[in-house]
Parts: sequence; structure tokens; C-alpha cells
Amino acid sequence: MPIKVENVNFIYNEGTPYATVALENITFEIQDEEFVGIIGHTGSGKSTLIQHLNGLLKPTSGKIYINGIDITDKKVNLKEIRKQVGLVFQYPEYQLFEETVFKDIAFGPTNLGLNEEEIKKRVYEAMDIVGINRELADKSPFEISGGQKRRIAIAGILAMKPKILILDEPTAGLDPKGKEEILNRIKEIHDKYKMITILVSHSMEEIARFANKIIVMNKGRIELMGTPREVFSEAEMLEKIGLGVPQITSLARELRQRGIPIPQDVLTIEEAKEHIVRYLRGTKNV
Amino acid sequence: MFRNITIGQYVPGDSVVHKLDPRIKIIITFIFIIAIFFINKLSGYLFAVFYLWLIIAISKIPFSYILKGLRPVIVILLLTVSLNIFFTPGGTILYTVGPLRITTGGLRLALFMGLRLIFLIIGTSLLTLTTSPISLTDGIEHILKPFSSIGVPAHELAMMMTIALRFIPTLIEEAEKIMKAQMARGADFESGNIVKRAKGLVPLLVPLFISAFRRADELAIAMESRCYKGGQNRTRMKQLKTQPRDYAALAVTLIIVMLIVWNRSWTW
Amino acid sequence: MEHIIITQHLSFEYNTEEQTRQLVLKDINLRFEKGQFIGIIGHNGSGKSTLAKQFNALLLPTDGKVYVKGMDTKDTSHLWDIRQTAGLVFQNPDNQIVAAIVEEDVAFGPENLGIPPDEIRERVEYALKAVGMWEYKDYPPHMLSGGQKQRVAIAGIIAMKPECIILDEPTAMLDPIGRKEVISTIKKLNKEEGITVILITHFMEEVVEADRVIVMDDGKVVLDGTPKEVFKEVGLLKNIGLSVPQVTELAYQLKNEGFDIPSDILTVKEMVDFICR
Repeated sequence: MPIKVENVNFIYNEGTPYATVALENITFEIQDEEFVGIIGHTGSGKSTLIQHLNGLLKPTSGKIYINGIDITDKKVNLKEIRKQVGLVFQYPEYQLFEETVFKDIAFGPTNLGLNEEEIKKRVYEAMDIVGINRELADKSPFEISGGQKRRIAIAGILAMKPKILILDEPTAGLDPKGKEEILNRIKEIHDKYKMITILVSHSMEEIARFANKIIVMNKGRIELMGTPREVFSEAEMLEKIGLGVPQITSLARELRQRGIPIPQDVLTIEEAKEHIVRYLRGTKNV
Repeated sequence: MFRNITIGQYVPGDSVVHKLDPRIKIIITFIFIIAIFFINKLSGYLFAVFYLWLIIAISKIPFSYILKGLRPVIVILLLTVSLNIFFTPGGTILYTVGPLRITTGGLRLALFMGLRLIFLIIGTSLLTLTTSPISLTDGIEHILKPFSSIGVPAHELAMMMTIALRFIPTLIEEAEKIMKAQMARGADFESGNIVKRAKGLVPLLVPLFISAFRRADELAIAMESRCYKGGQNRTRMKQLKTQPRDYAALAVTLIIVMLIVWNRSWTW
Repeated sequence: MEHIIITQHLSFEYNTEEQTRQLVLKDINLRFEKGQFIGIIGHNGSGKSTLAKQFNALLLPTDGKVYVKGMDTKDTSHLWDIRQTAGLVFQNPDNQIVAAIVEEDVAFGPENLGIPPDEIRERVEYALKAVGMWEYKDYPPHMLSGGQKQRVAIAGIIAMKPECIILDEPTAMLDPIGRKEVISTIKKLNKEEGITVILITHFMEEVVEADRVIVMDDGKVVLDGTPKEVFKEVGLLKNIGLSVPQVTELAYQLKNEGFDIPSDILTVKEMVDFICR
């Protein structure tokens, strides 16, 4: 279910004195099974952009195609689009409202008009994927810990079986352990269901780990787009727009400047270690 | 959809009317409202018209804003006028429709009631159009303060209003976000009959209330840790000081009131 | 050495209706020196936020004592002096700003203390300038970014002229830019105004330059020392669910490979210096 965004512009409060350009000339494509990272700081337009992908916002101009269907068309069935494009908002645990975990996860599938049997199957399956014990199904979502609440909220979207999964800063406000858990789940979900996954974040480290394509947003425009290696090799540009690169990437850059043969697009600690070990052993042999 | 809702209807500006002490403005508004009820003949409205025109001209508030203030009460206005027309006895009968009679007395009263309502609304809108909600709060607090010894919770009222002003935009933003999040889960806020729509609001209202309570809880702790212990021994950074212009405004208002009272003895 | 906050055998449990008595803080003995920058790290539920609330008498010890500038937090006659001495900044910037205008919010604390109006004005100006938000004094808070709101919250505490500021995960909800703004503001207040800072966080990078780092786990202090002393315990930190700076992790792994590398490397520069020595 590929995504194609063509020359999208979006102006908030158009026609009022408060009009602000939120998106400017956005064009990109995402193919099946891709894991895409969208990065940018608050106000860069990244949240506005993803809300366009399931029709919550309509572009002021430009086209968005999901699986070839133009979703900016007035006649398009938005319910059908939202069924295909699952969007997990920031701090999704704040939307929980039902009496039980089960009912809350079932909210989406119920809105899709599925039968009881199917809903039940999907809810339990979604709970399994996000690692929520089935015994919690009858508990109130408000009696459950913060990290688990967030996973329940994600399960609520997964139970709709979207073909495209978009997550807006799913790790915001969590501690390192909680972040790890959520990220690993997202990776597992992507590996298992092969749905297009779009992860919005302001952490380079997070994005660098899983994404095969990164879109860098700044002031409503796409500043950079490419593989993590391509994007991180533009360290100066990233720092200029206030994003920075993983500590390990800046280490590699410093080392290169000192004349040590290490590729400047190193992304992980393991890679860096390998190169440094080779270098250190090499110099010792000389 | 929520962004269109603004708190109050304050139109920023730097006219003398804007700069008046909020206490004086509130008091003046009260005096004007009472004066309106003293008018007993049409000619009396001339003074009220002149007075409002004066304020509008000085404050430079566009007339369209004032009309906008009247829009929400148009139904009440029409209802009041028609009830008075049809159900007031007295005077000569002008026209009969079935059991209903239109009399000169009815027309007169309807006209009076209608004008009274319109002037009342314009008068109070001018207060809120030229005074920011924050200084309005300050004004109310200072006016009520002398009565706190007889049990009027002046400080508490002002604090509640301040917090409300502070959090309304935050909650509006939040409501918008929750609504979108539930729409992404297939929720429908826009179609169906009233019952279905009311039911559809549950996924919005429950999270919104929970969040409001959570915020209230955290705010209470934060206030306590900033040494908040109620209104006792509390000072205020902003002190309201009356200026000569405030007394001048008060004087003009009183003159108008006197003219209106004098008008009662006219013969036309 | 003057101590601003002292805890003696501090234990604490929340009053719950249920029978399950769970200690959130277990026998904590700490002494905080005046003027220092102290970092407290730990994962969610390690007791670090509960500890913060003990420091300005929002919570009182179940057992043991907490002294703020010599005042026992259990002695209610000192309550307001304690809260004025040790100010607390919370995680969510939205839920600690009371007034609808920035300068009025900053004035809130001094107003509660009964300071005369003219002095409040001076303090508000001083506090807003100290956090670099003076130009925004007439803004409504909802028009500010997260980092700006948090700086206003800090100004609100500064205006009370505290000797110590405790910040409970002030950057958890901010983006990298906001985080930077807040951290550099705190550092400046510590260096230039001499205010003791206790920063509770789970971002390791924020406490790399602290004078002292305390690691909490399961209601206890598990590590306490300079950043270098603390971060070299990579294994222990990972075990309790904390991360270390990437270069520290790299140094740890290089050491395991048999290289003679100092295990207390915290910054890119230190790592570069080691490799290029």
C-alpha cells in the first residue's frame, strides 16, 4: 500500500490574520514494507504532515495518494482510509476512555463494524503483539502503569489491522527502559506484519536504529531525505537546524578530522567499535 | 473547529476607554444598566444613544463587533418583542388576528422592551470588548475585596477566574487532539441523530475530564509548593490606581444619568 | 562545609487503603552541599520523584528526618520557610503555570509570601532576565514553546529567592531544543547565581557535568559520586535499566576487548584523545 505525496502545501487559519504556512511543497514516496523515520523539532511540521496521511487534515494544495487513491478528493471515503492508515498520536494513553482494557482496544474494530467474534480475536491478538497479558483484559485501563497504558493505546490501533502504521513520538516521556521496550515492539511488529511503518521522533538515536529511510523536516519543508547513512553524513546541516547526530556519529566525524580511517556514516556503537579496534590493533602492529 | 472559540471578545486597543481602570468600567456599566431602566419615554433613549456612540467613537471598536454581540440574543429579542406585542392589553386595537390583538399599548411596550435589551447588551459588550479578561478579573477582585469580611469569597473567585483563563486554551487544544486521535480510531463525531451524537462524545469527554482532573491535581501541588495558602497575607504585584481620566469617565456617566432622570419629567 | 539539605534514615511509604505496605524510599542518608550541581538519576518508579517531594515538605518522612537548612520538615511552623528555601520545578510545564500572563505567573510565589508590590516587580524582572524570558513577560503561557514554559516555571521559583532548586524531570516532555534551553538555564543559575541545583532526570547527558551524581533504584541509593565514578559502572547502570552516554558504552566495550582504556570516558573529546594519544 504505497504512499505518494505530491507538492503538498498546508496553511493553518487560511484567510485570517493568523495564517501560517505549516507545510511547504512536500513531495515524497514510501514503498511497501519500508520503515521510515520522520525527524524534526517541535513546529517543524512533522505532526501536521502525518495528520495529512489519514485525512485528518486536508492539504491547501497538492495531492496525497494511498495505494493509488487520491485521498484529497472530496468524494473519498475517509473511514476506509483511516482503516488502512493507523495513526498513533503522541501520549496516546491520554485517549483511553473505556471501562476495561478489552473494550478500549475494541473501540476501533467496533467502529469498523466487525462482528463480535472477529473483534475478540483481533483484540487478543493486538494485546499479544504489544506484550500486554491477556489477564489484564477486564481491568480498568486507568489502574495500569504508564508504560503499559501506552502499549494498550497502540494495541487499539493495531486491532484495526492497518496496512500503514504511523507513530508520533511513541517514546515521549518514557524512561530508557520504557523507550527500549516500545521501540523493540515496534520493530517486531514491522518484522512480523511488514506494514509500512512511519516513526516520528526527535531522537536521532531512535530513528537511526530501524529506519531504512529518513525524512528530515525543518520549518515546514523537507530539509533532507535518504538512507540513514546519507542523512547522517550531513552532520553540519543537522546541527544547524538544531537536531544533532548520535554521539557515535560525531565521534566518527572527529576521528576522521584527526586523520583516522573511519567512515563518517557510522551509526551504531558496534560499527564504531569494529573500526576503532581495527585501527588500534593496526597501529600497535606498526 | 475549536480554534474559533475565543475567550471573551476582547479587542485589543490603546484608547482611553481601553485604559480606564477596570473597576471604574465595571461600576460605570452597572450605573448605565440601571439608568436604562429609568427611561420611560422614547426621547430618553436619545441620551443613551449619545452615550454609547461616544464610547464607541473613542474606543474605535468597529460597529460590526458590536452587532456580532447582538447576534446570539436575537431569538430572545424577537421572543420578547412578539410576546409584548401580542399579549399586552391597553390602548387602541389596531389589528386582530384570531384571538390575538395588536394594540398601541402593546407596540409601545414591545418597542421599549426591545430597546432596553439592545442597550443592555451593547453596554455590557462594550465592557468586555474593551477590557481584557485578565483586567476584568482584577477589577472584580478589587471591587469585591471590601466585602470579603462579610463572607464574599473575593480572592477565591478571582483565583478561579485566573486559572480558568489560563487553562481554557490548553483544554481546547487538548480536546482537539483527543478528537483527532479518536477519529483516527474510526470515531464519528459528525453524523447520526442527537442520541447517537451525544453517545459519540463519550470518547472525547471521558479523556478530557480525566486530563482536567489530573491537571488540577498537579496544579494544586505546584501552587502549594509555591507557598500558596489562600488569600490571607497575600500581596499583589499589580496595583490598580485610579487616574483623573477615571473620574472624568465617571462624571460623564453621572451627567447622562441625571439627564435621563430629568427626561422622565418631560412631556414627549 | 555547609549543607543545604540533609536526610537521615529517611524512609517513606504512601498511605494506601490496602494492606500492601510498600516502601518507596528506604533508609536514605544524604547530605547536599550548598552551591553544588547534583544529579539524581533512576528509572520511573525508582523513588526519585518521591524523594524530590520530601525536599520541600510536600511529603513527610514515614521514618527518619529531612532537614532543609537546618529546619526539620516535620516541624509545621517552618513549612513556608522550607518551601521558600527549596523550590520545586515539576515535569509538566503546563500544569505548574497558574496565571494567564507570564509576568503575573512569576509574581505568584512572591505574592504568596506577602512581599510588597514594588519589590515583587523587581524580583519578577530579575527572575525573568535570569532565565532569558524577559521579552516574553506579557505573553500568555499557551503561546510559548515547552522549553520557554519550563523557563517561566523556573523563573517563578527564582522570584521567591530560594537557596536551592529541585527540578523533577524538567526536560522529560521537551524536544532537544527545549531540553538544551532548560539545562543551560539551570547551569547558569548554578554558576552565576550560586543556587544549589538538584536535577532529577533520566537523561544521562544532562548530569555529565554535575558536581555529583546519585543513582537510585528501588527506593535506595545505589551509586553516589562524581559523574566519572558513577558512569564507569556501565554494567550496574544497564542492569537497573539506565543507559550511559554512547562513548562511555563504547569505552566499556573496548575495555572488554582487552584495550587499556580508562572506563570513565564521558565525552566525545575524551574518546578522541584516547584513540589519538
